[in-house]
Amino acid sequence: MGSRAGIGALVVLVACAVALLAPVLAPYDPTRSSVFFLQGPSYAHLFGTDELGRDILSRVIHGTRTSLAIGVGASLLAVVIGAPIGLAAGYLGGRLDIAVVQLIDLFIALPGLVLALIITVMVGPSLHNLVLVLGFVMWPVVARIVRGQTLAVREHAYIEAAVAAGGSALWIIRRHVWPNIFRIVAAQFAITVSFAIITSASLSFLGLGIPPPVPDWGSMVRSGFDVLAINPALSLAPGAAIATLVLGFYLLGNSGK
Amino acid sequence: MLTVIVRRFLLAIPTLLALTALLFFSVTTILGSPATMMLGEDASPKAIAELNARYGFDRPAHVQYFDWLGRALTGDFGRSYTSQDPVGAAIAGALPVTLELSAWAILLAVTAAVGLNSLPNRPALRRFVVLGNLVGITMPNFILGIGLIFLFSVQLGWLPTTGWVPWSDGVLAHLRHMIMPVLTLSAYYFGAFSLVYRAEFSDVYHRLYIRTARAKGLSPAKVAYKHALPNAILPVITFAGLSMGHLTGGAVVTETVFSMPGVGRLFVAAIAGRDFPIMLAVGMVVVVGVVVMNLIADILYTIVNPQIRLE
Amino acid sequence: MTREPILQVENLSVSFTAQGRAIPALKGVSFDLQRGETLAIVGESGSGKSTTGLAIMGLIDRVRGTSISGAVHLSRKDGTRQDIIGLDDRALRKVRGNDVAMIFQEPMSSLNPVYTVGAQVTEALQQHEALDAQAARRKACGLFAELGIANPAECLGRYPHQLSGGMRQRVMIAIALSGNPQILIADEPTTALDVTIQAQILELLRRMQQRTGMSIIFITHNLGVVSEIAERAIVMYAGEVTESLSVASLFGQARMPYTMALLRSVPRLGAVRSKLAAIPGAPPSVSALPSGCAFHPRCEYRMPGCEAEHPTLDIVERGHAVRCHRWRELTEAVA
Repeated sequence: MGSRAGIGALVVLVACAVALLAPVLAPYDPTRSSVFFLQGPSYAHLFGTDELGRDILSRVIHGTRTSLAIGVGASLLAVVIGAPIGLAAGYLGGRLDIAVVQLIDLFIALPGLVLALIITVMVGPSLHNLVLVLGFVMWPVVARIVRGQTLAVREHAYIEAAVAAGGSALWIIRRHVWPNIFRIVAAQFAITVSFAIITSASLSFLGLGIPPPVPDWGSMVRSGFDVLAINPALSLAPGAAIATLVLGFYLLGNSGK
Repeated sequence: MLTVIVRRFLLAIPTLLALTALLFFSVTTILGSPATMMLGEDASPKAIAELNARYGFDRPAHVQYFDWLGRALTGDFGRSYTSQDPVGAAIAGALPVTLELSAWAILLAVTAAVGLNSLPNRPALRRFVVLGNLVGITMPNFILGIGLIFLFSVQLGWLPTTGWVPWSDGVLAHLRHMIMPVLTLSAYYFGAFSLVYRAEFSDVYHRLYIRTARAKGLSPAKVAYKHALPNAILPVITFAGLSMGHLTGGAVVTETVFSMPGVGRLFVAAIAGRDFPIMLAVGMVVVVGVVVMNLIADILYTIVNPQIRLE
Repeated sequence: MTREPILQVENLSVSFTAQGRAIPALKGVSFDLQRGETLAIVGESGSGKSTTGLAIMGLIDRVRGTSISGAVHLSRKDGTRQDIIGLDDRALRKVRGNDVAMIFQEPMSSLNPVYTVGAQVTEALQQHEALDAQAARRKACGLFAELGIANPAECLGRYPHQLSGGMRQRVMIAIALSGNPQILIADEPTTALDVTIQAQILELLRRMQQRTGMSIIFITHNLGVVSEIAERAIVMYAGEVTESLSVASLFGQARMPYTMALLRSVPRLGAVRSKLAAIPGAPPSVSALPSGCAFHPRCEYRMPGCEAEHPTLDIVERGHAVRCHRWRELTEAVA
């Protein structure tokens, strides 16, 4: 079990490093086109070139930044919205809880990708909008998990509250509830990042990604699909990158549960 | 039992109305007038006004909603902006493809998840299945699809790359085109269903009636499949229903990768062409699909569980 | 009796592992069971009495961390005599339900909620005998009638949650008897039932025993029930047999302080007593046993030697054994 966390953490750390050091690591300028388009892998270009002659390896490296930015950004938003709502619903109960649960169930019943698609079409794709849309689509899952954990912890919190008579709800939450659910929130954050990356990559694949020339893994897979027989690396390299990063965050989050 | 079913069915109708209204009003609120989206950013105000008048987008929202609803109930979903073909017909043609693809995928996922996770004490198999679950849940399905196409069509040439062949053109051809899309789509659900089922199964396996079954002298397979499985599968049924509901909106990505003429691909094309009437209609199909599938899963659960059935 | 006992448990020891520590659930348990005899295994929860029953049925899984040693010799219906401990799972399946059957304490949770009781009984019948569906149903119906279930044919189609506690226990007995077992292990079958039903079930078991000649191992913590149904009793404490004697001797000639304390705590109508004499303290957890005699912390007769040395099982007289350092001195009769 420990190895899962280890692999996940390793992948995430490597990805962060690559994203930070992208300009240094990438052999070429990712946006520089050339006449050598759709070349197969070679000594000069490890993964070959894309349809505009750009180096695929460099674009994959720079694409790490985009993926991490959207993934982490959207998840932060989802947690910032979802965790307090879940906590409030779980701790306070009553009509608030009933209303929140119904709202959450409604969101979860609808297919997240379709919802994200519809909204993104209407507001237009950009880094900023994608983070907002994905955060909006994902907060209910976070809220549900946090609510569940809060309910479990609440029983203990009440007992201690009786001992520390006089503490306000907010104080009890901060002192007793939060430390117990923090771990679950952090784990859920990592898992949410993995789903955010999948969803944003899928949106890109369908043509609703960040507009060019920003290197974006999903869009690369899309372009590469048409030329699969000519240079499969155009699809498979970013594809493998997406799969690996998603796996890394998922393993990390899962091991923390 | 019949009263339970009828009651659930009646409850579904107001839910349906509420959700469709919600969708309609959210869209009109965010978009304002769809005309801007359809014509593009730099359309002239005159063109926008014309479009508004033609489609009635300038009327109050609730008027638009009831008008749309009234016509939708008779099967008239308006006409596609790009092609002028009736939307209803397009959806009617696309829906069976999506439903068939989804049904196969969910069926495969349930069978594999339940079948492979019911064998107690097989550590080697268990490790393999867990790995499969992990890949299923984390691998984005368009990458899986493209990977499969690369391997089985481009490199090995065993299967056709993309496209869809109707049953009338030959059973074998139809099935050959379905294999990879179904595998791609079912991967995620195999992983998700397995997680739920494994947890429930190990819980059920420690129940006392399993001990009774073993005390009768039954073989481990009989104990697992005949006694434990019917109890452990209940949450999977609910989950499967929820998933089918998700998939009626079209397995958007899978249909795009494999060029299947289903609701999902229709939707993606509508997005590319900024075709509002189709987008709205597909949104409604999703809502209806979700409510209907959940209803079916509810009913199925009621039938399978005698404690609820015989109240 | 000169015939060989149908069941001979010899030095049976079972140990589980939990959180890295070894938990000795049974330590060197030995006893015999004669044909047609009813033996009671008496003890509080945690004494190992249920584990003994499960071990005889071969229902203790041999997973990593669990060790079973000793022998359980069983005379089987086919004439052979085998040691259950040495059998693999395939062979054990032929024993379960067939030579030895078991009924449990919670009849509601012990029946599968998604099948009718009829289906569960016919399944047991068909497991042990080559019967087609119709013949099995007829036989199940007959069993139900014999066990005092009213409207047996209709009952076959009912689900467990539709039956009362007493009916469910009768179904469990029907399932257990389907294979015509020679030994029936009853693990607290009446504890979860109310008193009137309890008497009916006990009467039922006695009647079945008379008809089939089977032996019964009756596991319980209730001495009142023991006097009604058993001929011999063994008392268990902390995984060991602490006394074994006939039920006739039980109520006058018990020698082990624990047994005496148990007898004193049985509520009896008409006895002049101000309150129940409960045994002080609580049974030890098997992972942290006291040194020497396991009962000494709660024993009113303890002396320094009890903590120092673990007592062995001594023979008082024929058919009566006791595990106590001071049994010779303690001839206290219980009023």
